[in-house]
Amino acid sequence: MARTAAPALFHYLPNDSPVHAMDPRLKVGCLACLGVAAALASTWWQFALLLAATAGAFALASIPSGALLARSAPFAVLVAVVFATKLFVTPGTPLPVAGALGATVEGALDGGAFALRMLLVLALCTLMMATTTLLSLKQAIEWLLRSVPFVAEARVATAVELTFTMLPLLFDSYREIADAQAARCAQVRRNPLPRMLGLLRTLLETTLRRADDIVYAMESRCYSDVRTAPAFATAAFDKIAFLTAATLLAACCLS
Amino acid sequence: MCRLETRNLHHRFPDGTEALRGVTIAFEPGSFTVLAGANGSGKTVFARHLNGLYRPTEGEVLLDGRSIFDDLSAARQAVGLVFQNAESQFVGQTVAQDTAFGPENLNLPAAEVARRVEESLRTVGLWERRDTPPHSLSGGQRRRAAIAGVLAMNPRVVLFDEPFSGLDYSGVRQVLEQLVRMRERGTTIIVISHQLDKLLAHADRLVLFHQGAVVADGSPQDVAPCLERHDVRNPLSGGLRLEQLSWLCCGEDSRHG
Repeated sequence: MARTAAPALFHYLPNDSPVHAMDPRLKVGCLACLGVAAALASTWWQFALLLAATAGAFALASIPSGALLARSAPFAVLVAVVFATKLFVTPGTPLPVAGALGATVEGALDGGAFALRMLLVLALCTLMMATTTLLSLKQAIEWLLRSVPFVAEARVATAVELTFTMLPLLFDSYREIADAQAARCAQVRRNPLPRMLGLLRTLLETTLRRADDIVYAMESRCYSDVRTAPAFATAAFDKIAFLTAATLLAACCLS
Repeated sequence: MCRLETRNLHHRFPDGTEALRGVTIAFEPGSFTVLAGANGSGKTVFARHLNGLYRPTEGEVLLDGRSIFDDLSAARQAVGLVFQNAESQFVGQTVAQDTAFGPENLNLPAAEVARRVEESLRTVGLWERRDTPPHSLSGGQRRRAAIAGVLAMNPRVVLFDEPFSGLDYSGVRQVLEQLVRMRERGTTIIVISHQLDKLLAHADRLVLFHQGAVVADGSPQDVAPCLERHDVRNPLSGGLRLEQLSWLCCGEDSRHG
C-alpha cells in the first residue's frame, strides 16, 4: 500500500513491495535491458510484451500509478508533438483520413513506435526512481563501475547521489529567488531578459555557494572514497525479474 | 582526555584580508566555551581551522599536543563541526542515511554504522523520524539532525557555529538541551554565537574576538562588561544575574514565562 498522498514524479515512494526490495544492481540491470529493448522494439507484439512487463512491475510495486500518470502530462505533450511531427514529415502512402494534409501511413506507424518507446522509457525511469532510494542507486552504480578501468567509481556514484539530492533544493532556490524578484515588482519590466539574467545570476551564485558548503560539510565528516561496503541481498524474485528483462531484450533483438 | 589548542594562529585570505591575527587559545576537556564577536571578527574562520578545513597561514592547531594535520581524519573524528546552515550539511536522502555518512567514511563495519546511527538519533530524539528527508524537518529538528550526523563520529569536542540562528523558542530550547546534555557527558563544547543570552548561563568561559584577535577571555561574568565595546550586546547589562538567563529552567524562566 502506498503511503504518499500526492506523489511527485521521479521521487522515491517508500513501500514494502518486492520491486522496492530488489537488489539495486539487478534493478539497474533490468532497467538497462528494458530500456534497450524499448529502443529496439519495432513490431506490435514486442511493444505489447514490453508494455505488459512494465504494467506488471507497476502493479507489483503498488505505487499510485494513476497519480503518477497525471503528473506526466507535460511529457504527454512532448510525445504528441513528436508523433505529429513524424506523422506529417515521413514520406509514404497518404492516410485515408488527413492524407491531404500530408499525413502518411508510414508516418503514423513510425510516430506511433517512437511515441511508445518514449512512454516506455518514461514509465521505466519513473518506476526506478519511485522504488529505489538514492543510497541504493549510488551503491549499485558504484558496484557496477568497479570493473570499469580508469573510473573513480566512488566519486562518480557520490556525484550522482549529490546531483539527485540537490536538484529539489535547486528548484526551491529558483522559486525563492523568483518570488523575491516578484515581490519587488520584477514582472512590471517589459523586457524579460534583464529579469531572467538577474534570476540566473543569483541562482548560479547560490548554487556555487551551496556546493562550497557541501564540500566543507563532507570534508568535516571525513569524506573518503573507501567507505563501508554496502551489503547486497539477492532474492529469487530479483533473479526472475532480471531473467525476464533479459529474455524480453533477446526477443526484441530477434527481429 | 582531548586538549585542543591553537598557537599563534594566523589566516590570510588570497585577497589579503587578515581573518585571524595570532590567536593562541586552549580548550580544556569537558569545558563549555562561547566564542563571541561582531560579524567579520574571525569566529567562523577560527572554527574551520579547529576542524582542519582551513590551513593556517602561520601558527598551528594542536590536538593532544600534535598538529591536527599529522592525522587529519583522526582530528576530524575528534573535533566535530556543526555548521551554521544545517541544510548545507545534509548529504543523505533520509535522516538515517545522512547520519550514517560520517561512520561510513570511516569504513566502519555495517553493524557498527547501524549502531551509531541509532544511538545518535535516539540521543537527539529523532529516531522516529529516521526515514524522513532531512529537508522536510522543522528548523529545530534539522539542527538536531545535523548534530546527530556529528555525534555519530563519536567526537570528543563539538563546535557549533551559530546553532540558534533562524530558530523559534522551541527550536532554541531543543538545541540548547542537546548542548547541555553533551556537556554533561563530558564532551567539550565550543559555541560561536551572537545570542549570548541563551548560552552564558551554561558556559564556563567566554572568549571575545575582535578583528581576528582575542581581546577578552575569561568567565562570562568577567568578560561581559567588555562586550558592548566590541559591538556585542551584553545580556547582563540589565542587572540580570547569570543564572537568570537560562532558557531551560521553566520555573526560573522569568523572561519568557
